[in-house]
Parts: sequence; C-alpha cells; structure tokens
Amino acid sequence: MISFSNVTKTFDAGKVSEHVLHDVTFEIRRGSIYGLLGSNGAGKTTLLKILAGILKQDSGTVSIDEQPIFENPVLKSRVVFIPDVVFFFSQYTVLQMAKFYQDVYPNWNQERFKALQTLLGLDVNKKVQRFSKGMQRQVAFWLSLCAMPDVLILDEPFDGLDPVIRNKVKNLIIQDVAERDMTVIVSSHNLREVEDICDYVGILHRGSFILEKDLDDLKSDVHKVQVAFKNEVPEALFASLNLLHQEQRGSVVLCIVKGKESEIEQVIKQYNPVIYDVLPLTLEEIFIYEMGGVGYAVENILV
Amino acid sequence: MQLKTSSYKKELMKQDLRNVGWIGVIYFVALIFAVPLEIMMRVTNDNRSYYPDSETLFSFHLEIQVLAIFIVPVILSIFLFRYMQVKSATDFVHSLPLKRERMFHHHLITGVAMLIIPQLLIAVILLFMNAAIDLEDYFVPADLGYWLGVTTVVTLTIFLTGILVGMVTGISAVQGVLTYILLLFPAGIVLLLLVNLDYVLIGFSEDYYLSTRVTEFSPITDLIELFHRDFTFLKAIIYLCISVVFYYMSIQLYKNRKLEAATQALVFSKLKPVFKYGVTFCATLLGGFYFGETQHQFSWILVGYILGSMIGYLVAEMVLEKTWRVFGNWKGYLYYSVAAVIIYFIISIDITGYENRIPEAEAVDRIYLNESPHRYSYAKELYEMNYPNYLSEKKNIEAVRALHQQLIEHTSRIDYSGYRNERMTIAYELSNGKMIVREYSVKDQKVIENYLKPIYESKEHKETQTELLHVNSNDVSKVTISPDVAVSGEVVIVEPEQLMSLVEGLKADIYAESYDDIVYPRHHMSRIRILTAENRELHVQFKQSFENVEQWLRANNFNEDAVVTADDITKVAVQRLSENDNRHYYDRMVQISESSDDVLVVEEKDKIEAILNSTGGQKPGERYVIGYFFEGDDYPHIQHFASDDVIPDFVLEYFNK
Repeated sequence: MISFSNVTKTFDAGKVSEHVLHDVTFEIRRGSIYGLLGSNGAGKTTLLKILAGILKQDSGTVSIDEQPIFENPVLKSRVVFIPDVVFFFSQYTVLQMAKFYQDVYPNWNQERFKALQTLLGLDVNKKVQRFSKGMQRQVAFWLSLCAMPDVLILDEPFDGLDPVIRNKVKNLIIQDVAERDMTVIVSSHNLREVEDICDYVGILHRGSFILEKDLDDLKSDVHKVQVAFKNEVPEALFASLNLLHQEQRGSVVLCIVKGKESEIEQVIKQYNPVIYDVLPLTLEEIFIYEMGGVGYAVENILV
Repeated sequence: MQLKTSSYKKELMKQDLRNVGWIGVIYFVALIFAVPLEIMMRVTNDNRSYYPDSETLFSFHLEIQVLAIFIVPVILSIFLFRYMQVKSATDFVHSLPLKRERMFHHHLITGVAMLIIPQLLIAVILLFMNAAIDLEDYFVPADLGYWLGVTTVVTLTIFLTGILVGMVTGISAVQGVLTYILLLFPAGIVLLLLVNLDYVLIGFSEDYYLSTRVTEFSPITDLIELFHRDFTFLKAIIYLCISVVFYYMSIQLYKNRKLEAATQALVFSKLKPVFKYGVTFCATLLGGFYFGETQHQFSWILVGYILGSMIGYLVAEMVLEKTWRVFGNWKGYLYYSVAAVIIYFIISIDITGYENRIPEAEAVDRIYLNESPHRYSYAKELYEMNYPNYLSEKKNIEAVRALHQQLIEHTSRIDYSGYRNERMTIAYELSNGKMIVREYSVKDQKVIENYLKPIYESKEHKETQTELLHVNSNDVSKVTISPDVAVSGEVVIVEPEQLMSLVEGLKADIYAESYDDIVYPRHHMSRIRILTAENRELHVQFKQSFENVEQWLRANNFNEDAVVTADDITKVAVQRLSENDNRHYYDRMVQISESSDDVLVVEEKDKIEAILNSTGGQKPGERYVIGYFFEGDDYPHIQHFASDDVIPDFVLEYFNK
C-alpha cells in the first residue's frame, strides 16, 4: 500500500519559494491502477518523483508498505519510475541498457525480456538514442516491466505512442496488475487517456487534491435516467431522488441520479412511467455533473 | 525477498568507464609524451647537451605535465558528476535502487583510478627503461618515487576539490570555474587582505607577509615550488588531509542535495548569500588592489572599492539568477555598503593600537632595519651566515624606537608605497620570540634625518651594512682600485704589507663616515675591489671621504690611476631637468656641444675639478644631471650631484641668472 500523509513540498526558485505540493494526504491500494489527473503545473510530476524516492518532501511522510521510500534501496528495487522524457545513457544499446537494469534491479526477468523482444520487435543492438521518441518510450516500458516492479510509476506515459502500441502497453500493464498484484500510478492531464485502465482517480489542482474517486463506485453510483409520463410529471418523484441534474425535452425527462440502480428503479416505477430507460454515462459526464463547483480544474482534464 | 547486495555494481562501473575512460587514456598519452618518450629521444640523440636542470622528473616537458595535472582531475570531476547537473539524468539515476553514498564511491573510485593508473603505468615504463638502459643521467629511482608521490597527492586534491564544488553547484560550467577559483582562493584572499590592510593601517608591512608563505596557500601559485623545490612531506600530509575533509564534506552535501536544483548555479540556498556577498567582498578588495597598485592615491583606491563592489555584486547576482537583467536589485548592495563602511571604519580607528605600537626597549632582542622589505626575509637566509645584520646594542634599540615614533607621527594614511618614496622597514625580534614588523613609506627624508643619524653613524649599523668590516685584514689577497668609466688606469696591490695598511685604512675610513657621507656620498667614480682568502670579491665605492685611503694612495704614488681626474675629461655638461619630463635627458646630452638655457658646458679644468668633487649618487627628485665626456668616447657618462648643498656656486649662478 502506498501512503502519503501531509506531504508538503516547495521549490526554491530565486527569491520566492514556490509551493508545489500542499498538505497532500492519500492512499493507493495494492494492485490498483491510480490515475493522477491535473492540469499543467498542478504538481503531478513532483508528487510522482517524491513517490519514486527522487525528491525529498519538506514535511510529511511518504511510504510504501509502511517503509519510507527516500534513500531506501531495498524498497526502491521494487519501484520503477518512467519519466515523461525517458532517459538512457548516451551511446548505449538496448542490450547494454538491459544489462545495466539487470545489474541494478535484483528481480530482473531475462525470459520476459526475450519474450517482450518478440512482441515489440525492436533491435536490441541498436543504440537507444537512435530510436524514435515513441520507440524509446517502448524501450523504457520494456526494460521497466522486466525489472518486475511491485510499484510502477508512470509520468504522462502514453504521450507519443500510436494507438496500437498504446494498447499493447496498456495490456501488458493490466496483465501485470492482474497476475502479480502490481500497483500502478499513472499521471495524465487527460481523463480519456486513462479512464479505460484506471480503477481509481484523483484530481490534483495547485498542489492539493480536490477529488478522489473509485471509478467502479462512481460508475455504479451515478445513472442517467430517461422517463416519460402520460400526465403531468409528478413533483414528488424528484423530491425522493438524489438528483444531480434534470432537464425536460418535450414530455421526456432526462435526469442524472445518484444512488443504486435498483433503488432508483423502485422509486420511479411507483409513479408508473410510460418510458423508463437507464442510459450509459461516460466518465466525462459523471465528472461534469459531480464536480460543478470546481469546474476549472475538471474542464481542463477533459479536453 | 532475497536481494543480491554486493557493494560493487559492475554495470555502474562500466558506465563510468564508458563515460570517462577516454580522459584516463588522454592523460596517459600526455604523460607518455612528456616523460618516457622525451627521455628516449634525449638518449638516442647523439649530440645532446647535458641538462643540468633535470633535477626532478617534472623538468621533462613541464608545461605538458602541469597542464595535465591541473586540467585532468577537474575534467574528471565534471564528467563523473555530470549526471547531477542534467535533470533527466539526475531523475533516472536517483530513481535506481542505489544509495547516493554508494554511487558517490563508485564515481570516486573510477576517478581516482583514472588518475593513478596512468601515473603508475608511467612509473612502471620508466622502471623498465631504466633496467634496460642506464638512465642515471636522467633520473634515479628516488626521483621516480618523488614524481609519483607529488602527482598522486596533487591530482587527488584537485579532483576532490572539483567534486566538492560539483556537489554545491548545478551547472557543469560553474563547477569548472568555481573549482579553479576555490583552488586559488586561499592565496588570493590573503594577498588581497594584506594589500588592502596596508591601505588602511599605517605601518602595515604587507611585503613582509607576502614574501614569506602566501604562494604556498594554493597549489596553483605553489606550482613552481612543487616541481622545482622539494615538495615536503608535511605539505603532502596537509594536501591529503584537505582531500579527506573535502571527501567527507562532499558526501554530506550529496546526501542533503536537493535534486530539483539541477541547472541552478548554487544548489544550497543557504550558500547563496555567502556566495553573493563573498564575491562582492573579494571584488571590492580586488578593485582597491588594482587602483592602489597602479595609482597610489587614496581617491583612486576609493573608486576601486566602489567600482569593484558594484561589479562583484552584479556578477554574483547574474550567476545566481542566471540572467543579465539584475540591474534593479540594489537592496542587498545597500546592506553590504553599510557593513563595509562600518568595517572600514572599525579597522581605521585601530582599536588594537596596532599603528602606535612600539615595543619596550627591554623586550627587544634585536632589530632589523632596512629600506627594502624583501631584504629582511632574504637577509635571514642569505647573509646571516657571513655576518650579523641586526642591531642589538641598547643605544641603537633606543634610537630605532625614537625613529619609529617619528615615522608614526609623520606618516599619514595617504602615503602609500609611492615609487618615488623611500621605504623604511623595522622588524623587531622580541625576547619572547614574537616579531613586530612595520613598514613606512617615507615621503620626506629630512623628517627622519636626525633620527637616522645616530643609527647610521653607529659602529654596529655600519657593520651590518658592510661585509668588509667582518673580513680580517690579513686574509685579503688582492685589492684592485679602478675607475668605473672607460679611463685607462688601475691600481693593483698584492704585496701583503701594503694590503694590510690599505685595508686597515679603508676600514678606519668606513668607521669614520658621517651620516652625510653615507646618505649623500661624494665619490670618485671609482671602485675598490677586495679579494678575500675564500676568493670572494667585495666591492666598495671609493668615496671622497676615504681620507686614509687617499693618503695611502698619494704616499704610494698611485693616486692618478685610481680615480678619475680632471685631466681625463674633455668636457662636462650639466643639464637642468624640467619638472615634468626628465626621461629623455640622455638623448639630449649626447648631442650637446655648447651651453644653452638649461645646459651648462664646462671645459675649464678648475671648474671640472669642482664638479668632480661634488659628484655623488642619485637621489629622488633630482634636478640636475652631469654628463662627463672622455677622450675618444662620444657618449657621456651620466652622474649626479651628491646633494643640493654641494653644487658649485658657478653652476647655480649660471642657471639662476
């Protein structure tokens, strides 16, 4: 389990010090994929680098399985960080990099390395920096997954990957999560990019969380309902529902309702609607309806 | 979970080697060219000349060796720790499951290996060469040991200095520049402080301190000594201690380094004010130093302080902010100026009583009195073996104290070491082993004349000045008296009895010299050379006050040959110098044929005689020069009047009419 409690971080930028993270507290369950969302400059990268043990927080604690991560090689050997701009030693071939990873990460899996080579079809004797940007990113995933991490930290990972590779990589990640109970934290400024793999999301805005949700809960909790009545719409109906949004198109009433589907159905059926449909709701819609108040931050991640 | 934990990571080492291996190779090649190849070339060269200066192995291509020793370690430290200055690299490396301390040691060991392995290889090559062919003309194994020891100690120290600076900064270029500045800093700051203290404290003798040990404070300024003189064992220990301290500091700094500060000039924000005001302070001193040494005027020194501090402040700001646009931030400068003015004021009011301190006569063991500060330190080494050069008689100690008091009273803050001024250095050696050294720039000799007189006329002082007085008259094997100018004539005496009486007479003359004879001597344009039993030649200027010698010469009919007489001279030109330009008088003198407004030409024998009798040494602020023309020589021999008081009346009349 990953846990942040009261983490604060400031950057010393010339005369003024910049508050990057402000009293951040949250947890990530083992085996989950956590989507860290937020607009540019929200503090996502800083948070991830602190989690990876690169930066040290000014105050608060950051731990994985109850142990602090900073300067803790035993723990760090189970954590792999892939930054937004991937890094390789200059003049190194894929094979040389693999040897380096093998030497440094104790859980390195050589069979997997070979298996992934066939899957990705990249030349191991080519210098990594000669590869295209997207290919370099694939190499980074390749090496990182072979290190068999328990925690995989990804900073804007899918930028610059074409859809085919993107799906390949996503599948690999999901596979590891399912098989080995790997924990993944992935940052993005775009909800749509990660909504299909995340089971948990948090929105970071100007250094603090403004929202944290379990996506499964969210999806099963909010419903788009379409109803029509022969006569007048019974006012009492809305009073008994937890209504997020309501609009009328002719005789059809469209509403977003919070609650269990069965309970909603039970309430509405009492009034004998002519039409009663539960429509699919995109994550985007859920956010918009749920988060009316902090509109700015939400809108930005929905672009 | 089982973890493989060996403290040595093969791949990390490999990465280091790929990164900096080439530096080691270049270092090795440079050393090969500098030493073993050069020796081989000299050996195989048939008509080689013998090089007596090849005392150490450093004398082979010193320039290549010096460059290698001072550049390679710094480049190594930059490349090995380059990953800390590049954001993407620093993130990657520090996300690896390796402790900072461990990575540090990997890089350190690689770097040390890159320095020591090439040096060791060279040593092995030289040993093999020595075994194969006899190279005793070039070096002996002890030289090799010395060379290996010095290169190891010096490169290690420089390497660790580079690492230390790398831990503090986030820019590789700054790391390089700051490393050299730090290496130079101890010597530089001491020099600047001493010179500037001299501007503030009256009597401060910066030359006394400078001529002692300042150059040894930095390996860069100590270079000459490193390679020519013996690098002492003590110095090696000090260098190694500094290296160890830098090593521990570097680890601590690395552990506390904030990685997000890569690409910033200074990583630790606490160091920023230290850097900012440190640079400003050094620049202030440097400004004062520059204008003080070129202009010798208080107003210019003040300009130097203001200009230097402003430039230093702006440069420090520029480096810290990484921009040119810093011309709006003057708040820090204001604080600095206030502090600087207060410090200057505190030093100048002289709380400790430094300026007025004259030791009690009872506390003084001996005194070195000199016009040149350098002579004091050299004197101890060079001359003390032959004869004592200090004053210790009670009467003289009292006299020097009185002179010192007079100097304190008549020297003001603006009397810097003007090049026209005489300098007076007084060094007291106290009975408790301490030293008090003061140096004064004497603007007007007249002020101290009455105080110098008893000292100069004392037997003891004369003995400190003239080596001849310590030579036994029996030990003189030859005396030669001959004119300084191209005039035929020479007196050579080798007869023991004659020698005895002549030397005794000369000694008596020297003991009898008055203050004026010493300071404003009239002389014969002639020199007395005394050859001692140890085959050393002592020179004494033949002064007109040497009555015994003159009498002796006359009695033995040598007088004509020993000195320049009016008969040797065809004409004499006396030229009055204008206030401003007195540099080109020689060119004019050569062309003179007759008298004009500022030149008097004399051909009458009695007048020539009169001028001859008043000829003496040059004094600052001279108003006349004398040109003597000899038979068969177109070029004049330039002389001066001994003092204004002895100028013949007809000369003064001519110029005053």
